Amino acid sequence: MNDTQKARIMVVDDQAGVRLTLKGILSKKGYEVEVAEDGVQALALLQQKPFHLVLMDVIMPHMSGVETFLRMKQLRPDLLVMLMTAYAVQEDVRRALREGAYAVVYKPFDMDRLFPLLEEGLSRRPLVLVVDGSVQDRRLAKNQLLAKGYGVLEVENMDDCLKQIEERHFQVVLLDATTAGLPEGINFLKQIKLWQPEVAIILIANPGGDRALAQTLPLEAVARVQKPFEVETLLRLLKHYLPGFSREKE
Amino acid sequence: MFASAPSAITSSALLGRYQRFVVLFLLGILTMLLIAASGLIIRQQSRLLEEAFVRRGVVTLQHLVEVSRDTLKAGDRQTLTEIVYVTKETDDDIQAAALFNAQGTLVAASGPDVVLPIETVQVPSVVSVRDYLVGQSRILVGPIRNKEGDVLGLAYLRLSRAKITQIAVEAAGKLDALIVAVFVVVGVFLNILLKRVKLLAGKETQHMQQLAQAYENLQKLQNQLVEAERLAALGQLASSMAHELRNPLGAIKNAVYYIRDALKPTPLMKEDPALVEFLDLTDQEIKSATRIISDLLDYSREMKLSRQPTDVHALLRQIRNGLEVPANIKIVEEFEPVSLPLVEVDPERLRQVFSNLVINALQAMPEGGELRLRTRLVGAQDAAPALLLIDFKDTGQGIAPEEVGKIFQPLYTTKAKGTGLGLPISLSIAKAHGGTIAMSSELGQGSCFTVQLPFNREAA
Repeated sequence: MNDTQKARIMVVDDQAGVRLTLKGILSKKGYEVEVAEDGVQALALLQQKPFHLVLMDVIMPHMSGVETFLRMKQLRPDLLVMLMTAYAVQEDVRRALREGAYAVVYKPFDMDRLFPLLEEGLSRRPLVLVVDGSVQDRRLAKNQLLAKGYGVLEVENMDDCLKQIEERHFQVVLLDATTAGLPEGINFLKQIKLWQPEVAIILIANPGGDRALAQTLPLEAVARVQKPFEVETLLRLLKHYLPGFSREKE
Repeated sequence: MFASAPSAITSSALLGRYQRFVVLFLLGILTMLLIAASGLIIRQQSRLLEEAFVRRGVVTLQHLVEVSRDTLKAGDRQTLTEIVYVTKETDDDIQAAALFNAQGTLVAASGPDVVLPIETVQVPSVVSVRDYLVGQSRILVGPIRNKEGDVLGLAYLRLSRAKITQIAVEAAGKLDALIVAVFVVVGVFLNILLKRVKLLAGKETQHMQQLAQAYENLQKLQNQLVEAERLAALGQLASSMAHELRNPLGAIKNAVYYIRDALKPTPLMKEDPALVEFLDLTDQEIKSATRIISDLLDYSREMKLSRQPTDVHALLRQIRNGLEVPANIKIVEEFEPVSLPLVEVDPERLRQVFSNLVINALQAMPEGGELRLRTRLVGAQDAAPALLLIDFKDTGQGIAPEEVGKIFQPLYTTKAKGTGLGLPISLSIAKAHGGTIAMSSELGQGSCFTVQLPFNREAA
């Protein structure tokens, strides 16, 4: 998205304070901002004009943010929706992420954290989560993927990985088998799939650990590459699992 | 309905306790009545017997008088002696029969031991039959008069009361036997009755006790429920309040962000350094309010664990490495089981507990010191260890004895910036795992917090 044509964002919250401040901040950053007080207003607004992104509270009277999101999805299947909630992780939030909501942020949130998230979403790049305990390895993967136009987030352990998975929709998880503690760490993979059933998990196997891994290659993972891997191999895999991206890029 | 239960029990118990005494008392009264009645009967019977006995004696005496009058007048001693012998023979009860003349001199006697129970000078004054009781004998003396009424002499009969006494004694004996029999029968009957009543009373008492117990349990349960409900309501209130506070906090945070952003390009920020300071302060306060809310939510929320096979040693090392440890503090690992098997715990929650305890320990040692992280497996005598103990032992300032009891209470804190929820939350996490947190402390020496977890080996 170019700076010249800033995105149009809809803020949906029943709390006037949140609506006002978000509108102020986002407008100041150059976004075009519209506000709605509840789900009904939001749906009506969506039918009037196109939006690039919706920032919506979860707990609202009449119609919850999750329900509104599901209806929006019917109207505009590729609309980016970010949910805001003052509550801890709830089943309906999990459902929204599963149904393709882009991210969930927990109130009160840092605007400095929100903007990268917004921009990343608006960029429409496929998002890859790189999980690797080794700094060099994950930096390497990140730089190579960024160079090829992917959005990349890096974490060093499974706890942080799960935190990301619970907050944000990823297309691919690039998972170092050692960091995941495979084969015992199979539960982590199950948890990732619980949150995001459609995410493609690509396991990065270490030399030597290959055989043990092969025996227990979990069904949750779609593919497996061996360290050190050729970037081309990885990109081929990514393209295979993200056909939409290659189309968009053309 | 239940309120009367305890008093019913008391009276029933009293009845049971005093029943025996009541019955014994009644039995005693009955016995005394029986004895009195039998005594009366015996006395009455004896009197009647005695009267009949005396009447019979009097008749015999009069007969003797009639028979002996003329002979006495004639002074024929031979015949008189025959008469007294015959008279004595007529009745077994007659021990002796005799005749005296007007001067009181013995004229004829059936045996040697005949003594007139009166002075001889008094003989003329005897106008009717007299009756004397001498020992076990009854002596009847009657005047013998001529047609003119002059006293010619006295007829004497000594009657033995042995038979009557024997009859009375026998009667008394029979009555005694009867009383004993009645007593025994009544006693046995009462005993059986008592036992049965007691059994019934016992059953009733037992029943009542069960009822009372049930009632007590019910009341306890009810109290627990009320308390649980109250706590739940409080928790719910706290939780919804905490959530509701997050929205305005978010708005405040956003507003501060906007103000800061808007002021940045203007000279205002440079002109007044307090502006930046206050904005920072606001941000910090929002952060601490957010933390309080999260802690409160953690505390009020029902603890739901998501257990996973976890390497506790690795978790401890992660926390240790993730914290900024002041240079003057040394952290010592003392992991006794060199290779600790994976344990089924909630790693996220335990991380919370461990880092809370580590941070507390670090804060307790502002002058520096040593934090010892020690893990131990202790067990029952049987093979499998039952508990995993994790010690966090510092060499800090320690906790005053009067504060030791309070540190696990919610909202109690000794720190300037504490919410007073860290330890209560840690404790409830440990408890949710089926464990607990123990602590010992010595002022000036340091404290030791021990997390105790049931050692659940991951299912093999």
